[in-house]
Amino acid sequence: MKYPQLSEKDIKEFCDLIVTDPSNGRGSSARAFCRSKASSSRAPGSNNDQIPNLSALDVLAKKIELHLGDSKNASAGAKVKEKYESEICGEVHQALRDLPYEILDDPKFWQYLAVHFFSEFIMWRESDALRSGNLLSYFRATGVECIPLRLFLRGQVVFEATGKYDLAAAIPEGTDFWRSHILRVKTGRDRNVARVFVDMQRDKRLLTKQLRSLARLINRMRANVFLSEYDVTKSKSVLDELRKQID
Amino acid sequence: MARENRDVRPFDDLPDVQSWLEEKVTLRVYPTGSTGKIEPLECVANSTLRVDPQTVVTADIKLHIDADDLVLAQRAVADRFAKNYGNKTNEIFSIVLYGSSKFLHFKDELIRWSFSELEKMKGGFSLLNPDGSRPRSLRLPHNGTVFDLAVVLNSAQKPKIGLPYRLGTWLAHIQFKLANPSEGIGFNPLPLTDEKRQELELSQQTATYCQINPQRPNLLDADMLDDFLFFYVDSVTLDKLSANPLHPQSALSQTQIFIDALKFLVSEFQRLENVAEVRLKDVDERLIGRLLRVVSTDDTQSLQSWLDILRDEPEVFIAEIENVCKYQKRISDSLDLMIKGNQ
Repeated sequence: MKYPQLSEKDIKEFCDLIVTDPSNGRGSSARAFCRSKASSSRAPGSNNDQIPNLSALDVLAKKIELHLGDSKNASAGAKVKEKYESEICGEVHQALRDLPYEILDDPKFWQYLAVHFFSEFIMWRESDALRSGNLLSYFRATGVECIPLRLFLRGQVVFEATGKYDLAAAIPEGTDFWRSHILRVKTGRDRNVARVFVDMQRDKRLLTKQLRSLARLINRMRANVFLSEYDVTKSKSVLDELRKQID
Repeated sequence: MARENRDVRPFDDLPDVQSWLEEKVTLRVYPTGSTGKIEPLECVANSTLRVDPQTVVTADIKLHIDADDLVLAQRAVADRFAKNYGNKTNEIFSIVLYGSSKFLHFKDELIRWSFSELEKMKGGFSLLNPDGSRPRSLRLPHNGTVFDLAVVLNSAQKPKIGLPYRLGTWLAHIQFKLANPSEGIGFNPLPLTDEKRQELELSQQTATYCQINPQRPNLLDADMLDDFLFFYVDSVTLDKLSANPLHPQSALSQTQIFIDALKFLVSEFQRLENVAEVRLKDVDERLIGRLLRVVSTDDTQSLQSWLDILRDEPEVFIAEIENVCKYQKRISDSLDLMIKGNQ
């Protein structure tokens, strides 16, 4: 299978272009940039040149662009942006979940996705970073700040724990919770514990300081315990126990 | 270089089984599709094996102990420990293997055995699915896989002083890492074409060239190797290497290029005016942190220890880079092929 990529150098150039003039990040301009810069690579281990089907992302990108084109949304505040991000996680995961892992594991593929499908969304979602010229980390796939990757991973965590996507949008203003307590740490890999943690935060929201205390207790336990051994019921029981320690 | 970083735990565990796992169990990668017989690549406990992307997604990957190893002795140790809980046998323990991806954030169970099933590792137990397909943790050519092999409590036990009781508590645990030789640190050699040679004023027979990025000359500010360093390799050579990534001579050349780039980085680090003041917390998330992780495990103690070595004993740091890149084996495989060709 052959798939598109954008190099580090390319996305740096793209970020420079949109910081200089944000109109360079509009959907059509971003796609034109990809046409001129993207390279194509055969997935390791693959013996054919079939192209992955990204049509669902095309549809999603157009939907996002329409949404952002509405003047009411264009000037939206942080809460609205967070809500919209939480609502599209499932669609991003659904659009990509059947691709070969050999492709999903390539940061250059995510960089291509960031520019080709999510450029306008990134500029809207991270408008402060756009103003200060620090957009690179949202396009660069070295970590979970990369926007399409973080949307996909949030969808993946809830889908693999519950078989559906509702939970991705369950916590109002939940971006920081997801980033700091699920995706940047190992908790996101322990599906049942992550699911119960999200349930818990939805039903009885902890404040930042309490959340940090609870996260510390979970991390301390992880040093001696494989939390991946816990099913949903046992995850709930252990998180309830830890929560009592901070209440 | 073996370094002991074991924490003191607040309860009894299985030190004999721990030592046995560390000393006897290895992860072996059997490349396929190569010409000639090549010995498997071996990853010992708590170390990283760097494997090229093509190999990692096509090779058979096995947990291995020697066929004549006495696994029964481990069972007996576990039986004795189980008596502390009032159990006659080791059935309260499971041997589990998890494969996880830091990049794609998943952790999948690959093996769940009882002690009586340890024999399965004798001579090698393939981690491929029974139908020959690959679990997703063996399909990660770019960002690698972490394998955790552990003996865990498979049910909660009645709490007793000095004994672990929680479900999932590990009593012995080792880790293997499969990593890409270049990605992770962000190393992408650039083609040294005739035009580039002219631009850089290089001679025709120059095969490689390191150029510090004129726009990002500060090593401590760089996130990835490509931010700081442009490493050019003769374009024809690069094409030949890409076309034959598994050939032993190609593997040797790729390893040499990677080691050369890292040696350059080590020497640039040494040239920093403030090298004595560099602290782990300032560089951990940056290029130098990635350089440390080429040789170090991910824990703070090990990273700090390797930062000290990078600063004070760069020759030891470079020697360990050669070790983790299996440089000696690459040379040996290549020479074996040459000798075979001459016969």
